Amino acid sequence: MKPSLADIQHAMLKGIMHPGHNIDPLIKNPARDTKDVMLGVYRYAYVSRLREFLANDHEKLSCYMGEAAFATMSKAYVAKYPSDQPNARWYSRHLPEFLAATPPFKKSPELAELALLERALNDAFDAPEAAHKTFDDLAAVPPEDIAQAQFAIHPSARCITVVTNVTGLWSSLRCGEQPPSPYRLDEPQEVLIWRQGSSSRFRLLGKEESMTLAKAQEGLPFGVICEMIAMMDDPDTAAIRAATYLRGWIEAELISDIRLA
Amino acid sequence: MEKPAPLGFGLGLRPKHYMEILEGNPPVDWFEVISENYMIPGGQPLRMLDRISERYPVVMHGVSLSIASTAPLDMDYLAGLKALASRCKPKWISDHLCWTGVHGVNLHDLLPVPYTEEALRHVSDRISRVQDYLGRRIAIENVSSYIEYEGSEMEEWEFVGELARRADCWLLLDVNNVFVSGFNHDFSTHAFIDAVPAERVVQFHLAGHSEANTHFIDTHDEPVKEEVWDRLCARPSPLRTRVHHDRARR
Repeated sequence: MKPSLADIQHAMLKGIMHPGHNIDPLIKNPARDTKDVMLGVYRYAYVSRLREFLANDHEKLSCYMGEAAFATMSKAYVAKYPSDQPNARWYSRHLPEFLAATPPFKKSPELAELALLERALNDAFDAPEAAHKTFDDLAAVPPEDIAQAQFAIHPSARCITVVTNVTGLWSSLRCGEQPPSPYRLDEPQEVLIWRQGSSSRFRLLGKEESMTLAKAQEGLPFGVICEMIAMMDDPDTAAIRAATYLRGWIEAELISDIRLA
Repeated sequence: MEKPAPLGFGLGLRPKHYMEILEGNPPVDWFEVISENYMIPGGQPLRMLDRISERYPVVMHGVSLSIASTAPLDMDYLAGLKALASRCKPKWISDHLCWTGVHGVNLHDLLPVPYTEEALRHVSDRISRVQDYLGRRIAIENVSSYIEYEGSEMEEWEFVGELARRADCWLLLDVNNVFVSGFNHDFSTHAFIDAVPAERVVQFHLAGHSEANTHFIDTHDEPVKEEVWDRLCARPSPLRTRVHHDRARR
């Protein structure tokens, strides 16, 4: 009985992903070479294309690991994660978790964090569009209403927590310099990633600003956020600190809307 | 539905071209965009597409419709495709006569179908459903292939012609793909090109291919071969052509 279209596709899929799987009976004798060579075009393309997706999304990681180590890592990732997405853009999304959990890569936590930082920068690059508010928009808020104002944060913004000097590694790699030796930080560090104009950016956040930004993302009114800031440190300078954060966010095009509750 | 008017000579839009296009207004008749590259939430690629599609006609060319797959149609993908079409107003939308995966796995390759009556029914039905969903005809492109299936019941060009008739779709004739497959499977490229229903062809593709020891591979990283130009020039139709020049396949 002739195999159905579904049978053929099932067999081809296995034959391409697992070269030891014999699908010769499905294939006509090629005019130019052996079945193995001609099927090999698809087998080679499958692995090399997925590796290329990883390398495109993780240029700094590839550079840091070196070509051979990155190829070895990619081979293991491809074996664990067949693509399940029609868009190659999302293929590498499991890489930080993979590197954090898989030996020998998990012994070097900066690898997973470099992948995490690059993924966050990639995500910020094509995150949804939103307006960005200016100082003129802020000045238009009546002073008596400022405590009720809610500051919507740009949808590209997200924070990650790192425990290594990954931001220093990234910056060195970007400049084409020899990266410093990796080391573990004394305490976890928050990193803000967002898109400004057309470019993805990141910067380090102190604990207080990190909390302030998170509360703004939750939609808390500015007055409530100021009260929380006052509890974290000197209450007399809480308003100034809050205003400083707000000013930095506006300059960085992080405020996408100002709403009055 | 009337066949789209000829657009002239187009190029594949790539990020490295954005500024040159916007600053120089190059004399290109139209641009072809890879649909999936713009099926994203936002950011610079979509902004660039918006600006370029204001100045030039664009067509959308996909690689992941997987029209021949026996997996269910991916409605999320189709919704994204439709939204992009609504945004950039392409003159037409195309994808390949192929399958890219089954069982939830995407191989990110353009895999050939067996040329059987069963496949013909399956693919033409799916094209019809996609066209109904998108509210427009789509164009289907022949792919380069490296294997043929034992169970095929007809020639590729017979399959392509009959598919276009049954599904009432347009065709995108990739002359290089005909050339590569013709060499690999030892068939007459002239027979293929002569048999394709000209009234259905809305676009031609040209690209360079690589020569492996015994076969050709559609790598898009070489200049268009003289023989491929010859095959194209043998066609009497008005030209709507795009040249591929991309990354290496191998």
